[in-house]
Amino acid sequence: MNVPINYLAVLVAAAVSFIIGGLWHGPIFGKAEMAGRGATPEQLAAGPKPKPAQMVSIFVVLVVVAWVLALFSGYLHLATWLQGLKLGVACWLGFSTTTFLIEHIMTSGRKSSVFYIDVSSWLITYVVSGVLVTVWH
Amino acid sequence: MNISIDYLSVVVAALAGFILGWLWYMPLFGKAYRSARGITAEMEAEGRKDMGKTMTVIAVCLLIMAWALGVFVGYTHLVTWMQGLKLGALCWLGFAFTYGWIETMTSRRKMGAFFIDAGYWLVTMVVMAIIISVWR
Repeated sequence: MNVPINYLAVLVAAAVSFIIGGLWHGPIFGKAEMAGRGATPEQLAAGPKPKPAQMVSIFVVLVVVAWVLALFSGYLHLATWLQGLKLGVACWLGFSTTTFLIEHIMTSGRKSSVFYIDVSSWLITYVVSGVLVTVWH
Repeated sequence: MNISIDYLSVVVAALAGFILGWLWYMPLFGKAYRSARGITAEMEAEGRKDMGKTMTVIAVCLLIMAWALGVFVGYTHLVTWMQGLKLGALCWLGFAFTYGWIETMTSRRKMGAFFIDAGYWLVTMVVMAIIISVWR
């Protein structure tokens, strides 16, 4: 099962996802998400403050997501952006939303706004990475 | 692109995931999990009221996951249990482990809960992928 992988595309996909995710969980929906997770008024006033260790591990995780998508894309011989988009959506629907929804329903005291913000952020990550690693391989 | 999916294998795989979940979060790691996530007896009693809804959502999610694995098995023509194991492990690494890790890093959650959750998904996804692969 040898599949050629364009590691530059994997890294770029992870970087783009990282930037969009940063905007998504920061200026765009950061405060709504904190409120939904039960943040105190002081924490809310300060806004989201991710630690450097969190940022690094999030980037590493996004590289892993893009790498696995690239592996599937290569193994399935996908080439067009539409195929990449379908791959991203299928993986998001099949594995990301499912694990996420179970996690959400089993966690008490969390608002559904958190679920929608997170799940939409993952959709963007999967689609961006799926399309990028497919068209640029 | 037409692929054949054996829906019976998808349903059986989802059912296996459901039974595994019960074993995993009740007799096996139930106690450790509740303490790691700080779930009290009152919270549990509260949660039991919505048990029907919760179980339905879990069953539907497991069906969707098994179906997605079935699509991959169909596209890639996997047939052996080893191929199924690899597919399940890869999907877990790429899509379940990754999400759990970010969730753990960005919330005040104990590592114990992460290992129990991630372990459950690894076992479940591997078992599902093997069932669907060897069934055909």
